[in-house]
Amino acid sequence: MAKMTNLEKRMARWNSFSAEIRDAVETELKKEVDDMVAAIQRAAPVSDFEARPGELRDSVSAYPVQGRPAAWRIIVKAQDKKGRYYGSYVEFGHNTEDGRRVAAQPFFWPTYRSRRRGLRARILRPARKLIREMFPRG
Amino acid sequence: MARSDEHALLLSIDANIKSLETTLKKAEARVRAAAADMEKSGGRMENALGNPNIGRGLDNIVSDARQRALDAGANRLGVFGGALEALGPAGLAAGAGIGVFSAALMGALAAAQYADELADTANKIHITTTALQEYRYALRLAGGEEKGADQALEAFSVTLGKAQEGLTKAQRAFLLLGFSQEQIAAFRTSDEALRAVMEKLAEIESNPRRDALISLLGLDSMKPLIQGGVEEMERLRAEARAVGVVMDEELVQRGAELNDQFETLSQIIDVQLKSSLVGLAPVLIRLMEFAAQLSKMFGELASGLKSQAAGQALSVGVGEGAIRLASNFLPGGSNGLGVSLVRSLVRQLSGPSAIASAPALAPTIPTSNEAMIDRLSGGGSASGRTRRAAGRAAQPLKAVEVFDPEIMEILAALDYWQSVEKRGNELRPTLDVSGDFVATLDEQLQGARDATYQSLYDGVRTGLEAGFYGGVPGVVDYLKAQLMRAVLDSLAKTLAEVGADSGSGSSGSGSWVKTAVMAVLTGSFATGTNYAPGGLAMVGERGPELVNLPRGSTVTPHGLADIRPRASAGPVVIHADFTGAVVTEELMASFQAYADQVGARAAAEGAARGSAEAQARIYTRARNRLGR
Repeated sequence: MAKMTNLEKRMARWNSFSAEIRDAVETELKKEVDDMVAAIQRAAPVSDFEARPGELRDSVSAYPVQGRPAAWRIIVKAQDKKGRYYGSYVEFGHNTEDGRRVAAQPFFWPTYRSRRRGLRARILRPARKLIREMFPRG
Repeated sequence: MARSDEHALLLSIDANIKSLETTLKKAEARVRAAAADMEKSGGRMENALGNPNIGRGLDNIVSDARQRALDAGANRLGVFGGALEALGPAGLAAGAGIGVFSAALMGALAAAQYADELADTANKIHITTTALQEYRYALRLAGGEEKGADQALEAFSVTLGKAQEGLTKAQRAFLLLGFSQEQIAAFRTSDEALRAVMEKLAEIESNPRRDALISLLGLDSMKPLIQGGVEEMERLRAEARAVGVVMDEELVQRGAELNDQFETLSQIIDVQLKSSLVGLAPVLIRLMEFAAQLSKMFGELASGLKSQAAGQALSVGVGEGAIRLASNFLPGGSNGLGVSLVRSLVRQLSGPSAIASAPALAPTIPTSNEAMIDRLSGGGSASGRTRRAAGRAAQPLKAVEVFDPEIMEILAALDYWQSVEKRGNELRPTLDVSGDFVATLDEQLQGARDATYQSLYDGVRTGLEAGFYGGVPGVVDYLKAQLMRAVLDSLAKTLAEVGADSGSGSSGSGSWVKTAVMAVLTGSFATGTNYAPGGLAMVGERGPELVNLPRGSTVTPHGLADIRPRASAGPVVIHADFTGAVVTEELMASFQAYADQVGARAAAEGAARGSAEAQARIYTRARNRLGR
């Protein structure tokens, strides 16, 4: 028997849950992702040097990962004229073409780090509550 | 969970599914453990049923459960808990007994129902209960459902019966299996026929043909068991007997009989409980109505005490108590010194022209709703909100008007006493406080007050009992008495205290009685009178006075009424105790006149003396300046 990949294990586990539990997890996960996106947007700097002021902030978005249950990704999609993602340049700082140093304006990872504590517990809390209701303690 | 991209800022967030799976497995394990416990309990129940002494086994179970319920308290007593808890420990124990016995009874009934259903099914499909249980167990282990065994066996039994009766369609499957007409007719039980059929089916190699024959025989639900073969089925049936899931035939029969008895008993209990609840319903409804009336009454009392004299609040909803108050105001019964004394007091206080009957007291007791609202809200200039609040407060006061006119007089008297007493309290700090007469009178009246309190308590209690039990004819049973006794005692005591203290204002208990008796005084006659109205009057308050006593007059000796004047020509010291006493207008006018007189004399003397001293000082200063 072929060994199951991690993704296959994850899919098997996910399918073993009832629909109520899956809904509870997905609902809470979406809520946490939305909150995270909103927090990153609030922290994102708005500069007059952008093609459209606020472009970086508005480009923060989230999308579900295809083929992987209960997984989302948050991405900063803002690009310059040459098609380069410049979110990381703002986050970590960079040198301009004329040699000037632009200081870092971290907005993405500090926001994530400030909110990641208890994130997974919060995502699973409604599902755990549902399980407790399904199988109450004697 | 999170990673950064070389080009774009990227963050992955996912749920920890493995952790959730662990939680779910733990929960399922708990449920399995609980199910195992329940199966053990079920085994104990079966043992109890199988025990020759069934009653003792049942008693043991009930006793254990009852003890646990008693330990747990009254919260788990169900619908009877609240009512029975009011009866104290005995009620608690009774409730626990009822609840737990009902639970045990239901469990035993379920076991007996199982045996009964087993016997009925076995009879229906013409096999033994043992065989039926074995087939159920074997089919379940083979991958089918227990219920499928019943259906398949019943269908097979019908098919066999039809085949034995000669129906061609029913015989077809048997004939295809190789049975002859004689062999079909020779089957005595379904169990025997099924065993033979399974042996024939095992010889068929073609699966579709075997399935078709199984379907023709009505054995679709037992297909998993049939496909295993006869040997496998026999092994599973033997295993069923070995593991103890097969209930003995005799036990099943006794369980079925017990079920009939249980059904009869449970029906009796059900009917009896419902009957008792129906019988108790009027009492409960009456109790709820009484509680509602009680809360309303207390609300009205509170409103009355806030907005009006305490005496008015007293009479709201407690008419009988108020009548008893008037009737027992002083010793002598209800015909003489009760209500008539109140009339006398009002007449003495308000003057001869004011009080002749209740309608004459209209200014103190408004008769119309608008007048009542005006009075409570402070007049026509009050805001709409204030007037609406006053309207609500006026409703209980309006109820006063439906009482006897004598009550109206009582209320008017109490109202007037309160106003008079207020004036006395305002003047009290300016006056010397002493007086054995009033102190003695206070002691005497304390006893009268106690008697009045007891009478009022009895009256209120009687009135409440009449009000509560009046609508419930018949026997007052133990439950009603227990539930109501504490309520009535508490209520009667509270109302009696309110009544006894009514009109006392801030003077303390008993002062309103003292006030009333002091008010009996027809007046004080230091300035003399040509026509005393008769009755008790105060004399000598300004010094020696001559009074023309009518025949039979009573003179209170020194010591009891130490208010006679001093014989010396020095200043007159007036000793009086105005603690809660009434100071009439006339008496206060005399005090004021005396104070004015003394004050004016002192002022004149002071002015004259000051003038003389000033002149002397001027004279001395002028003489010094001249060097003389």
